[in-house]
Amino acid sequence: MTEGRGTTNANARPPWRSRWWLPVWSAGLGVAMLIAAALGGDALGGLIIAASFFVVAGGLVIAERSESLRGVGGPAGDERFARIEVGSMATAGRAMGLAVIVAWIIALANGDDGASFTWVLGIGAIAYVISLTWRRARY
Amino acid sequence: MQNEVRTLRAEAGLSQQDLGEAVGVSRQTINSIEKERYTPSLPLAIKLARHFSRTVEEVFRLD
Repeated sequence: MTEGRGTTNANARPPWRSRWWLPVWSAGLGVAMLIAAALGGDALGGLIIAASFFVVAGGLVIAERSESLRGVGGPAGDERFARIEVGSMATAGRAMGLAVIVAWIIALANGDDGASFTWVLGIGAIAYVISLTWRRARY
Repeated sequence: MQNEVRTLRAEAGLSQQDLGEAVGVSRQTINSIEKERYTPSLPLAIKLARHFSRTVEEVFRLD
């Protein structure tokens, strides 16, 4: 049977479905934070942040047997986990959007212009519209 | 959605792991389907039915 456009082909596993994807991503974020903090003149703070990211990366490697960890960007991902992931990402997106809106309101109340929050919300809104348009055209 | 996956798997003498590998999903997904917590996609439902040499309607039915 030919797989439809809206289905997941278990044989066509994308490269980020490696068990190493999440640990490497976490460690990479730690390195990026360290470099950013060092550039900002707080190398020690950067080291602490990076160390916490490395601990998370190590934990992800050790906990590799967990279905959830292997499913989230790992080798255990199948159609059920893809559905779980989509729902979880949507929940996280709503939580982040709400947090940014609240932070934006607080910033305005404190006399700040809240420009950084405007940017974040703007990027989120544009990404949503682009995704919606693309998926409507695709499905 | 109700299904006969657990019965058919038991009749075939397969473990959830075996069936999952045969149709390309995890053991946990087979477990969720058997407990009727997860409704599989149409391609997966067809794969499961074909694996047991049944029609989709013989394996899955609406409540």
